[in-house]
Amino acid sequence: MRSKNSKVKWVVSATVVALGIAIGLVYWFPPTEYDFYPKCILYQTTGLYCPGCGGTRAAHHMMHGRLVEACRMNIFATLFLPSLFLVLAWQKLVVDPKKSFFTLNASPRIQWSLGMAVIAFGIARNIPLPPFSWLAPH
Amino acid sequence: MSSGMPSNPYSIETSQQGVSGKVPNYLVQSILVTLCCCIPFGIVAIVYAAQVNTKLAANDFVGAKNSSDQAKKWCWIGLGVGLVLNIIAIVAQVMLGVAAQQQGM
Repeated sequence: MRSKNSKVKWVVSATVVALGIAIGLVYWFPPTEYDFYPKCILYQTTGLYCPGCGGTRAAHHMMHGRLVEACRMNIFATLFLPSLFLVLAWQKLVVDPKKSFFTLNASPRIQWSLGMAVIAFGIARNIPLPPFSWLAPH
Repeated sequence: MSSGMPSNPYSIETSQQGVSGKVPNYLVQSILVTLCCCIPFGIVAIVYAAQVNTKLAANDFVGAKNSSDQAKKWCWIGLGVGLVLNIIAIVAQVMLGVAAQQQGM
C-alpha cells in the first residue's frame, strides 16, 4: 500500500511540475511566434484538423484574457475544457470526495453525446464551407 | 470477499450492483487523449468509453467492464504513441532548425 501511495505521489508531482512548465511556456511564448512547440503529426502529414487543433494557441489567448481569439482557434477546447474541469472539481469537492476525479457523474445519454460531440467537432471543422470552416483555427 | 459462487440469486444481484459503481468509463481521459495527442486512437477510446454507461444502464455488466477495459487500453496506446510521435517531431524540428542555420552561415 505504502509503495503504491508513494508511486502515486511521484506521478502526481511530476505531472504538476510538467504542467507548470507547459503553462509557463504557453503563457510567455506565443505559439505563433516560437516554433519549438511540437507540431501536430496529423496536421503535418494529412493537413487535417483534429479536435485539438489550435488548442495551444487558444490556451495562450485564454491566459491573456482574449476569449474571442481563443474561440477562433479552438472553440471546443476553449469553452468545454474549463467547464469540464469545474464540473469535475465540483463533483470531487462537493458531491462525492471518494469518487475518482476523472469519473463524470452523468446519464449514459450525456456521456455518449459528449464523446460523439468531440468526434463530430473533429469532422465538422474539416468541411471547407462557411458554418463549419469557422470551427477551424483562423 | 468469498471466492465461490454466491449461494442465492439476491446476492448475485447485489454483488453486480457493487460492480456497477466500480466500472470507470474513461470518457474524460479519452477526450483529453484525443484533444492533446491529436491521433485517432483517442477516438477509438471515446467510442468504447461512450458504451460503458449505456451497457451499465442495460445491466450488461460484463459488456460494460469489457468496454471500460478497451477504453483504458486505447487511452494508454493513444497517450504512448502520442508522446513518442511528439518527441520524434520535436527532435526532427530541432535537427532541421540546426541544419537550416548551418546552411545559412
